[in-house]
Amino acid sequence: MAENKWIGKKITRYDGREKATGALKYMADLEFPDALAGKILRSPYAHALVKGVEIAEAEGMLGVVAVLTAKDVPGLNGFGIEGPDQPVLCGERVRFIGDPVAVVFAEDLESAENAVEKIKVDYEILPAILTPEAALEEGAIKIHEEGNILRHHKSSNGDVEAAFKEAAVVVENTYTTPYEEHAYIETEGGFGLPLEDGGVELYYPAQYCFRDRMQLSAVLALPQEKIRINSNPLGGAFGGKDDMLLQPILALGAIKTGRPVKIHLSREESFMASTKRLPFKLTMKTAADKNGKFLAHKVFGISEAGPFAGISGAVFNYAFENAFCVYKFPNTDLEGICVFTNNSVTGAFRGFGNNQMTFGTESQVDQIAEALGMDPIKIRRLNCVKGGERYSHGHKVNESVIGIDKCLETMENSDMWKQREDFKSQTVEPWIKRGVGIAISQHGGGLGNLLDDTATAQIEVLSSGIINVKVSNEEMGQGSLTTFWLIAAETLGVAPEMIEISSGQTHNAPDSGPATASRSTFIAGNAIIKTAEALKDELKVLGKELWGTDEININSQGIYCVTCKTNFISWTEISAALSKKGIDSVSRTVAMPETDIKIDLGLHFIHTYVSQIVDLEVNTLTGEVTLIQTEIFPEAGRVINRLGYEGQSEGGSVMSMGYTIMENFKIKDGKAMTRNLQTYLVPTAADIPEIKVTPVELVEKEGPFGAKGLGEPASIPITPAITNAIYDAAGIRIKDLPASPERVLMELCK
Amino acid sequence: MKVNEYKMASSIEEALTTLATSPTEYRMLAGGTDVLPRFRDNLIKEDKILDLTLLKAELGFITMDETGALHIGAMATHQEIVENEIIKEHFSVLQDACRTVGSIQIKNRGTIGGNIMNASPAGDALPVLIAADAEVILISVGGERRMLLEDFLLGPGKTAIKSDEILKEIVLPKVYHVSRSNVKYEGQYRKLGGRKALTISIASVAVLKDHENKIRVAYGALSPRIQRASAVEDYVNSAAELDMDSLYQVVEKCVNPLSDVRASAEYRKKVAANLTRMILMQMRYDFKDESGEGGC
Ligand SMILES: Cc1cc2nc3c(=O)[nH]c(=O)nc-3n(C[C@H](O)[C@H](O)[C@H](O)COP(=O)(O)OP(=O)(O)OC[C@H]3O[C@@H](n4cnc5c(N)ncnc54)[C@H](O)[C@@H]3O)c2cc1C
Repeated sequence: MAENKWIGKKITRYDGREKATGALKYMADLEFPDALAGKILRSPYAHALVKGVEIAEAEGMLGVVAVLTAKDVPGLNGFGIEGPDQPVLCGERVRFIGDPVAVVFAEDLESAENAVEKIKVDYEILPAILTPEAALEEGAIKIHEEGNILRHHKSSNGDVEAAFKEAAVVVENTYTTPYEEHAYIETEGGFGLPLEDGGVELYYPAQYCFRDRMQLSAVLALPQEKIRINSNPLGGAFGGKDDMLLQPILALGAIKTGRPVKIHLSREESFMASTKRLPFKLTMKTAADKNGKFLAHKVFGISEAGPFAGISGAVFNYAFENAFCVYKFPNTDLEGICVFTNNSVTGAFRGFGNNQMTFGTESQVDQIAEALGMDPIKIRRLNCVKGGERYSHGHKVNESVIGIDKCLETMENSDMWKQREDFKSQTVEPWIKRGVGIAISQHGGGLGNLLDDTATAQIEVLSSGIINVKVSNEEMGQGSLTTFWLIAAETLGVAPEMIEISSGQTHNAPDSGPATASRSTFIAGNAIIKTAEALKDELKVLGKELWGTDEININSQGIYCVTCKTNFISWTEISAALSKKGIDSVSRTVAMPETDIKIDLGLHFIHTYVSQIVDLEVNTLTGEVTLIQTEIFPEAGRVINRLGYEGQSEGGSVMSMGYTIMENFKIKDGKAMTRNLQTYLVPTAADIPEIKVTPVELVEKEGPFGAKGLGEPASIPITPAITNAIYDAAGIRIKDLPASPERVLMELCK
Repeated sequence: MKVNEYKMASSIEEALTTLATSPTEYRMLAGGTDVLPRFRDNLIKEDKILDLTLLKAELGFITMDETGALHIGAMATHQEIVENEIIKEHFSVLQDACRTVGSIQIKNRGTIGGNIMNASPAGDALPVLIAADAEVILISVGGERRMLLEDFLLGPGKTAIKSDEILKEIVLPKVYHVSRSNVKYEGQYRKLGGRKALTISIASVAVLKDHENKIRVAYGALSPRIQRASAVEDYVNSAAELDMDSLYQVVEKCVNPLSDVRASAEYRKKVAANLTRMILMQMRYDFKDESGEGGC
């Protein structure tokens, strides 16, 4: 590996100081003089027709400036990543508890809240679809005109039934996974501002400002040029701020009142209105021969999108794309259905469906290993796709697929694995049982080959000498600003301090796609490299024109002629020199590499691979599971910033540990029973085990400085690693998440 | 309810006069860790606040009198109890209980008086105090009265306090002091929550051994009212040999849990018995089914 100056080191975050000191202002912290406060009236019913909305009394109340309903939406009253099926304000029908019907803007929040109570809505209650099975029943009420099915995937290869007959071992189970709430610290909130030209500007935390602008243009019936969006910074998103939520209402409010407007959701409203991880029910049947070679994998899965398509169809597809994990199965059979229901809205959540599927598949693999008396690492190494081999879906992936075997090999040689029997024997109390579990995962980076996936970067040298690097991908805590910063510095050969990043602004950065799908480091990183190289080329041309030589070098001071020594232009002069040549900035676009074949699930060419080992304790008297330590082995190509890499690995592990043993989103009759963080428990510092991060660094030839994405991949294998460890400890197989104390004890009692 | 009046009392006397002369009721405010969230959720019916913060000088004490009884002022915080040397020496199991309350921030603000007055079945200081036969002293302009905490707590959110009274202090008679200083396990409080910190009890149990070597037990979050589990106590104190089935049966008699979003009643019952067994085994009580693993 080439020696780099900045890449691969431990570097303090670009935005670290202002975040640590609290100086950074998140959107709801901003202040605009004269801003109105908004409060939304939401449906108390899971499914109902809106027969009428009476707003006169609310309008007449003290301090109220505007009461808006569906009638006030000037353009299309709908939005949604897949299609505009989610109303901005419901005028005809509400489809979940929390669907917005009206919004009040007033001089202060209290007046807005009082006025909301005076709005009278005449509802005609409809039967609600509260389970995926009910959505599929004959004669079930249709949530959307086209029916209740969002996706129905079927595919097969070979002959699974024949394989099940000849197999030495067949394992069949049904797994269920719950909703998961993102629980970012920053609940949704921000400002809408009217612009003098009749347009609107938003300050609102979101994961893709350009897509929001496109959708808002239709809602507001305004050209995109009249909409400016500031989507940076975010106080956590994890997929939950991917699609729009309050943006159309804020924009509408600013336009209708002609004043800045603010809405900031309470935790309860955020829980009610924002998306959740898709719950799944998965039935899996998996077979292997007596040597542990996998023969067949059959999966039937059902999931729910909630009332709108959102991005749930893509999540669902992605789950099924990952149904085989990294394994080669000669015989396969997949069927999956994703339906609409009147429960919570679902959508993107770190891992994008892969967590649910890998929990199932990696539980199956562990059971096969056990049935055959095989070592769980050996059986995985035996069955993973080898370099050059085609995937079970039939496509070829990047040669870095050999990374998974490296992850497994490194884990096999780790102290934690070698000392597992020691760990298990060190218990004092008879009711404490110790166990060790492992699992692996793959995770494709990028949007998949059903969508165009490109990114544009732009670099402008300012007259101050600052090098302004622009990519739209938002900073939501994942550290992308730091990554972009280091990549630009390394490519240009200047100190990072010289570089300023602009992102999350439609008017000040080119479109580099969404900050999702573990793509930002990879694709925006590549776009920055390509653009920085182009800038270097321009500077070399400039140097040649001035000094008549190709021997031009670039450093933190500026550009200079290597041979002539004295000839030098500083960065503060470069801006003017380039302008004279008619160049104000340099911009380049790159695309994500694609697979050779396409299927309706959308396939990925570049994957990150991870293996993970967990040491834990089960209390057989209470059912409590306590993680003692875990080691995670990500093969995410080369490390860009060691601190960011460790942060993502630790954060992903902790987040999904919460999903696995604790987070228990309960919904009854369409209503969330866990309505805030009092009853929806996420991990605290006291719950977090010792975490060791061991990078398995292979160079990804296609990636920026050999890197791949890590945001989502780090959140996946810990779930089955935990449930496999629980089995190892206490002999119970957790098939329904979460493995809460109650579930574990009840399983022990079976 | 919106707060229409806020008053800060500067002494017990002033607070009591205010209560005695007011035609409508005040909501008292100590650390505010229960009151403020409840105001926010519109669960408080009074619209007047009487802030007791300045009574800390008079009611923040933790002392031992000449008879050996412990006195804890209502305004003592959980954190002060956790750090107090007298309590450490004579009633360390109360520290174990207070240590499980919320987070550092909550322990720094939350008072033991607030924990009692909130009268939540899940209040973490309560089982230990009740198992030890703690008493409360209530004060009004008319004087003081004293009663068993067990009799004072009537059910969720309900106590025997009168509208002109303030909870002044908690008294622990000498005979039930339980300390860990000599013997390893003389009493334990075990709380089971949905996570390791900052969590409301799903079930909890206090088991103490008194000066006559008798076991005393009280459960938290397992019945609307926290009371001594006399059937469990009798069984453990009289049985020649303990067995899990019998323990389960007597525990079931003493608890009457709810099913709610945190846990089912069935689980709570099982765990009540299992936690009891866990502590008893740690206190070196033998069970017939010795393995100690089974939880069913
Ligand atoms: C995040 C969080 C976590 C928590 N975790 C726990 C936990 O793990 N375990 C637990 O048991 N509790 C927990 N609580 C609840 C709370 O912190 C405790 O019950 C605490 O002891 C309450 O004390 P306080 O001083 O804050 O009471 P306040 O909120 O000030 O008052 C509580 C009630 O007592 C009344 N009151 C207070 N003092 C007096 C007095 N001297 N005389 C008469 N009436 C009085 C008030 O009027 C009010 O009705 C938690 C609360 C929060 C917000």
